[in-house]
Amino acid sequence: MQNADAFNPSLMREPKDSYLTNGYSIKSWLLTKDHKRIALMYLISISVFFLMGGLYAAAIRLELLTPNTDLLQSATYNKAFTQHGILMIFFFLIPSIPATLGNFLLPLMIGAKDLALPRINLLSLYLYWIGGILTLYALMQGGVDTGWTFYTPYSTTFSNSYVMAVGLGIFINGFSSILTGLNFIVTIHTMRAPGMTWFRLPLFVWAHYATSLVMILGTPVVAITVLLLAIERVVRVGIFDPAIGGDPILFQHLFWFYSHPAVYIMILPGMGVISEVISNFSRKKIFGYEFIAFSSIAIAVFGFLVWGHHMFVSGQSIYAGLVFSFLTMVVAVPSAIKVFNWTATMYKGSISYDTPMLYAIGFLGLFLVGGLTGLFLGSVGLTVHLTDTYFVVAHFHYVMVGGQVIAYLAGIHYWWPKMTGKMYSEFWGKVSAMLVFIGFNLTFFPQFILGYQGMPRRYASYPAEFQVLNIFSTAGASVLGVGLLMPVVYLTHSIFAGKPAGDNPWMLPGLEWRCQSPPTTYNFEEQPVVTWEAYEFGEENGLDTEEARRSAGSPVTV
Amino acid sequence: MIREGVTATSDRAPGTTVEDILSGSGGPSGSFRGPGGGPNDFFDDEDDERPDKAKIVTWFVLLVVLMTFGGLLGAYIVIATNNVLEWKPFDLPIPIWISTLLIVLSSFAYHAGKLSVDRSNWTASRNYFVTTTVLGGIFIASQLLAWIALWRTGLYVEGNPYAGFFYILTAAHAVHVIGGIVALAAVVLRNWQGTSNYEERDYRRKLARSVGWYWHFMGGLWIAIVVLLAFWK
Repeated sequence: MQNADAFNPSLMREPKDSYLTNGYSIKSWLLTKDHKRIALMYLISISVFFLMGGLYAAAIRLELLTPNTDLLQSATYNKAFTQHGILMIFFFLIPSIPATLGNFLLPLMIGAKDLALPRINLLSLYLYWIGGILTLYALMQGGVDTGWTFYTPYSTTFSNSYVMAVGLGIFINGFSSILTGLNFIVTIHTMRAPGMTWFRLPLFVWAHYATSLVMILGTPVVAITVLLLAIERVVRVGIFDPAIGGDPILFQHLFWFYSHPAVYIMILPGMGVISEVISNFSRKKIFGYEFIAFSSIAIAVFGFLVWGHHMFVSGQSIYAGLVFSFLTMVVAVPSAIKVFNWTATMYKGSISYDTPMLYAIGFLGLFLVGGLTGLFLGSVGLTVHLTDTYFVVAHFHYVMVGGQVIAYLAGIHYWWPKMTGKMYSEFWGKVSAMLVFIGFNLTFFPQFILGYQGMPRRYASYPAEFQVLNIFSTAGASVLGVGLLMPVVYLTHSIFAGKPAGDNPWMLPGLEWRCQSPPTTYNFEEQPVVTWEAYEFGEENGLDTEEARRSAGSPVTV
Repeated sequence: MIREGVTATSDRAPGTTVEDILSGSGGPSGSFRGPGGGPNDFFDDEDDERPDKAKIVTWFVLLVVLMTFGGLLGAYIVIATNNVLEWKPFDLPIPIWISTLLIVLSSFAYHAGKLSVDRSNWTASRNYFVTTTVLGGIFIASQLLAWIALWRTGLYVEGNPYAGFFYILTAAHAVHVIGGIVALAAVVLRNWQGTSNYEERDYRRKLARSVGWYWHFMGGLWIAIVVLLAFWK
């Protein structure tokens, strides 16, 4: 395969059967082994969970519009924020980028036909559905009010029986996560195309390798923690309940041993997307490839050593606190390396401000705020003042929403032409990116101030002096909501009425842009052979992009 | 290895063509070995023609199992160290020690079977693998005996975290051993008849190697569990 072939105007070519048109029956979707179809089914499923989690968020923000408990009773409010957290974290954020974009793009990016274990891939989708339905059932029936962390004794002594159903749902979903991680790792090890060495892998693939490591190493621990919780409730073994010889702090250790690394499951794939978008839309080889690649691995490894910073006020030893605080500062370094490298990549790049790039630039700022406020919370002294306030809420929303969700949106827009073969409306894309950015900041920045002033989290009511900032926050949430709903409309619209995108609408060198859009079932017509480095722009690679754009009357707006 | 990857990347001249790479002359000698797999696989220290999926799957499944039991044993150690009033350790029943002997023997039998596979001695390998599987089955039976013995003495999980952990750890291990027995059965069936086919032999060796890692890991894990239960209580 010659490189220049990738830029033949594919619009002229007779389109082959794509993965979308290869069978229309329900069976051909439900029993498919095609990673792209599985990714699409994941995309629809996680969107449903995202919407449901979003509805809970809307209820929470509306309740907090006024200082009194008028919209939701306190007990209902407890359920609302718990279920918001459970749906968003376990059923949206964790599978968001890996299961959809990762599933779709890993084989394309490394030049493979499919993932290494296609049946296991389908199995993990079914496990996700089973876990999700079980959880939804429990939430509809009575819900849980323990907070998404399931701290004992809320989840043991004082809980209703639906805690177990939700726990089981998360346990099953954990297997889905483990299998996805296993599949990705085996794929990256064994399925790379000839010439695709480890250091030619796109950074998206490196990020997914690191994410998969965390999934494989962390998820088993939370799975057995939930199992121990169930065993304690059913047969009364003293594990977490001090009344029968258990240790409630042990639960927190086990839980955060997974759930802190899980934070990296939620952000590493986003970092992978941002590496792709920043380099490609700056039309410049990424600055410090090896540093970004290894900082992903470093985050995955160090992420396992900092769980204690969630427990500074739990009564753990002050010396443990010191060590955890120090390690928390250490784990900030690889993230800082990434931000530095992304910024350096943009420097003197030929930046085009397409929608994905707008999101990516937004990510840089928001992730920076999220990361730096994490250092506040990681300092043993200051954290005492800030624990369990809105400062914490604002911090992790800056990382999770400002980081992962924004990166997810960047990725969806960036690869949408590849996934569907259609171009979305660039105008509405930009409008929605702006609304998300503005709405997000308006929602969560006031919460930093609220938290610093001492407003505690997880209460339905608050003193009247906090109302002004809360009104800002709720107003921002409605803007954010509109911004997040808009892509649903214009992306769906583009499937039916969008302009055909062509194989390589952004004029990029990556392997995923050298196959048909949407790809055929086996991705590449012949085994691709890689002769170029990652992010290699330049004429010898057939990528005199300015000229190509001008002559092609490009579908891309600049 | 990673370092190879770096040199392979940087040594290749910009003008390298597809044909150069396919014929192996584009990079350092032997850095590329045919389509379907990467040239420098992390764990491919042997000169495998094709990357061995089973090997990597097994390695990472073992990591999953390791973390599962790491969490369980960590919880055990914390509760044991707390040493609260309810913590009432007892002496391990005799069948536990029999189980220990059985699983160690089965590991030796498996290793003998694997050596036979490497020498393409199919009768011997079949016999050794059947022995391993039977020993694994007896191990599970012996575990059941241990539980029944404890049950008879009126030892339930309630009110004694040590007893609770005893049952949880041994049961969790037994579940993973049963998974291993299923894998062993696959190995036995695969080695039932002799073969002279090169690919088939290669496949059997890889399968025996991967399942072997899992089985020996189960043995090591069991010893770790018994040591903790017997001496850290």
